[in-house]
Amino acid sequence: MMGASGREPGTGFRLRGALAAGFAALLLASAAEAQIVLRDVSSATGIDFRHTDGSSGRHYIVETVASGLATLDFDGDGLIDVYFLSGAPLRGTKADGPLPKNHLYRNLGGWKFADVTGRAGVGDTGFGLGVAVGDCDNDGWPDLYLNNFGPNVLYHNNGDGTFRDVTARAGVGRGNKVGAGANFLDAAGDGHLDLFVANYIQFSYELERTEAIRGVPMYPGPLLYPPQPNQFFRNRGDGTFAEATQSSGIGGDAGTGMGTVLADYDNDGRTDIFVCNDAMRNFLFHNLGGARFEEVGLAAAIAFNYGGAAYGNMGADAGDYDNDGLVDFFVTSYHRQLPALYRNSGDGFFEDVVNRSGAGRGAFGNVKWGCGLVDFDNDGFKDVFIGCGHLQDNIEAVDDTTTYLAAPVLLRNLGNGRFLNVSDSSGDGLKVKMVARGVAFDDLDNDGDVDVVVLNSRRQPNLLRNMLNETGSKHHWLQVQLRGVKTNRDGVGARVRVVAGDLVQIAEVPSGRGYQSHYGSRLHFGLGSHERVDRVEVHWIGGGVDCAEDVAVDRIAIVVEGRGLVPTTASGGYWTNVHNSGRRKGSGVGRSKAGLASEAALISGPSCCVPGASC
Amino acid sequence: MGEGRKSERPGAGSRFCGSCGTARKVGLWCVAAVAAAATGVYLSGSRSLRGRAPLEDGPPESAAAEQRAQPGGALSGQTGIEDQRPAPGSAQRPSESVPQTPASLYAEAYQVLKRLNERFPNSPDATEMMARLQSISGNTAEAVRLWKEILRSNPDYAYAHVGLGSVAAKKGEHEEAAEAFRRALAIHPQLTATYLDLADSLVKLGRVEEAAAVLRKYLEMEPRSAAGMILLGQAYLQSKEYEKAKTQFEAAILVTPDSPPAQYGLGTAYARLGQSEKSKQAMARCLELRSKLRSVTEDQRSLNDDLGLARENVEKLYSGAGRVYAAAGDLRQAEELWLKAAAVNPKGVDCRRQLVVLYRRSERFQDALEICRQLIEIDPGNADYQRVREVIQGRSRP
Repeated sequence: MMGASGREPGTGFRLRGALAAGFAALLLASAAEAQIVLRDVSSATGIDFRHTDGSSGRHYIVETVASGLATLDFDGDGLIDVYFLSGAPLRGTKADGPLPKNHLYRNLGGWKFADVTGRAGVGDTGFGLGVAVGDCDNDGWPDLYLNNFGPNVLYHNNGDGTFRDVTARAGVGRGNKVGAGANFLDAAGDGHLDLFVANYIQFSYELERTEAIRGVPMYPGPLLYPPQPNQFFRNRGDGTFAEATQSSGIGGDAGTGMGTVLADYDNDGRTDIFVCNDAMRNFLFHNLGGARFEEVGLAAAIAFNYGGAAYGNMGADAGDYDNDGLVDFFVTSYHRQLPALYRNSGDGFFEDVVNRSGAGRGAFGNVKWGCGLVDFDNDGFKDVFIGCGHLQDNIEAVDDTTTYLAAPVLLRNLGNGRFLNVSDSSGDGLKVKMVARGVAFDDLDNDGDVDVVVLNSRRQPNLLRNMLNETGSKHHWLQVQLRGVKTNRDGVGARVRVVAGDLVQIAEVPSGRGYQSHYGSRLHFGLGSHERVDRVEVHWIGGGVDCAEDVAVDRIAIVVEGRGLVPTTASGGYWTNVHNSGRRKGSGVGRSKAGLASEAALISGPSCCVPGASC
Repeated sequence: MGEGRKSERPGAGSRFCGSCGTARKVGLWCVAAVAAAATGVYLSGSRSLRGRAPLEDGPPESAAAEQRAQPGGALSGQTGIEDQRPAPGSAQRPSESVPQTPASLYAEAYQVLKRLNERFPNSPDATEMMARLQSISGNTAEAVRLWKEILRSNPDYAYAHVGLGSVAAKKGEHEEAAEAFRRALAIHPQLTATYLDLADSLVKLGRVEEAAAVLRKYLEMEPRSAAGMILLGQAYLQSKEYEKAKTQFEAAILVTPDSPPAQYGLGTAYARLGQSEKSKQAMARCLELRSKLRSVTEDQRSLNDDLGLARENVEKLYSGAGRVYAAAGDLRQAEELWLKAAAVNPKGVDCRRQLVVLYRRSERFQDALEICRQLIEIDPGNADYQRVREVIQGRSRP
């Protein structure tokens, strides 16, 4: 392990140019081998969750924005589970039968899931909007924070498959607001995860607005309501939080928050917060250190789209789409609006390159929600997935250029700064008409490619299985799971840099992402045709660095802070969580590639030095 | 020139486009352009409007004569102004009851346009009006059908291409949209607003340099168009020509100081040029303006309050329908529709301009002056209205 004061700001600012261009052709050729196929496997998974938005008939605006979901390994068995949020009856809703609630489905392997909501105790019946996942007490088990319309909930993971509601003790209930995205982050670098809570609007039933287009009743837009400041809670490290909305600088700007995502956009080693606002300027909260933030969206040219317009923004993701060492942002939007792809220039500015990159092709006509910068074909470049579906259930009565139900859009990253709409040729999962809201991306079957879960408003979700291996892809991959020791347990905010030949990628451990959702705690790196990884660097919050060289591919690597890559204990399962060694193993179904990987165990080279670190 | 082609396709509404100087056929709206060019009285100002009428004499009657001369004879027997002179003072009559909801406004407009199409079944102009209503009403499939129907008999009917482009643009089919807009401009290069549509589609396709070229051409024709300057500035920003971008935004702000996108663009350009203080000032101004405009933003209006939009749309439809009647010589019906349009949209300019022309030519000077008064009230900064009023006042004196 090495210490470092920051994140190589010098090297991080532009690796592109000749280098990137040089291997782009090679990667293009490589990428051509791998066709993305996402198969809709929803019906056979055992997931019977059906979302409700409250549907009062009175067109309350909150109905339109529900809900997000989370993919997380809540029980540490190495299989990623799914937690769906649901709305709840609103004033005037005809409700009979049991109250709708959130549902947790445990991944049994082999694309089978079991509803464990009752046993786990996470069936909140509040009006669920956003969710964040983070181990806020560093006990090794991911906790859940629900950002509701109404009181919020913090579920503490007991580590035995159950959770308990600790909201009151933790002090993060945050009143009766309309929530949005939420994120755990170590804002002060003290090893404890603080909590950012986005809010949408100031809504009450008394503030109900009714709207119509040519006499047809419609849901109102957010600008008819006063905006609402976001909130920030400092983790005291004793299981309680102190609200620090004002002292942190978060509360100075009222917005119409929707999707939120974390990223160290300026490579200063501190986690920043991006909030996309609905029909208002976006916020970029620059972390100044000491849990203080400054909103710099305008100055960084990320507040509006390329035309200076405040679009109806919905979901947001962060990722280095052009592998230049800088985190970029992708933001989805309303219909007849392009999404935005904010390319990080490395000089404190962003540039919306959605037009010339083609990252919005095929999505203009639909309302766009959950999104991900995700490498589906393991070519080393992050593709774009956009969940679609209108918020007006009767939109076709007034506008035949868009639809309530809409298929998702998949844009393949060509590795040259451009994207290609491959929705029509990427499997039946891209042909399913959905009413997407939250979308999550994780490797649900541990086969080395990223799958998709879509939460649909008023409907059952869709699970899209990535068939990359089945289509004969020769691309390799590496997944990295972090275990913080001095820093927060899951490594939220830590940056991983993976070097395989000319292919250099970065990713940061997220908490809260996309459209009011959470996914991707285990970082995924496609490697193209590279059969070894030259180097894996982990830059922990606070400056510590772990590094390994000559790492084998097609496996899940665990990096423990201060120890670097650690070998896994493979005993019939995919892999065993080091921290939770001795607990239940993976079920062993559907092993294929991943099973082989775990049995071979991780092979890591000697620890290595990175520039600026003391070795 | 042009006569040969005109005789080839005798369908009503195909006209010789004098303003282009070419032998091309255009839609109804070109008549106004021809008239304006002939009189030399253009009203300068914002982005050009379809069919904006000149306020002084022009050749609408030539179009009417052309229409009357066409086979079919449906319009034969229609006489000129003297035969149909409405009673003086109609401009000051209380307007008839106006529907107060978007749905009823559009429903009434549908009936008006249905009658128009029944009266002129072979008129592409009438069909185009109905297509526009269908498009506005969200029934773009029917609009597309109508525009294509027009193009089958009138391939050079520019506004049908514009309509098809607009639907493609709404759907995000920007390649098709750009192609349609280009076709329209090839037929009728004076359709200035279409340059903006074309540039917007090109920008969305990432073809920024092409868009910039289109916008430069547009600004040669409309040198005071803030919309054009802003779009060009944005194109320059995307091509990293920050100094040029700054120049465009500065020019736009001179025309429209209250434009948030212009201020934002200027702030961005300044920032890229390293002028951080100026950037901050422009950004602060942008936020201030956005805050002021928040309750009436386009986004909000289109999503939440479409009564104002419906009034504007229906006014334009009635103004256009009135022109079809006027072109056919039925000035009484034309006047009725323009008055109806004025009642529908108290801030409507297009219909009032038509009325000024009509009243002035029929020597109903008091009515013309009343409409001028309304125009000045609507747009007090437009010196042309003052000038036209003075002209009419001069002619109305014994």
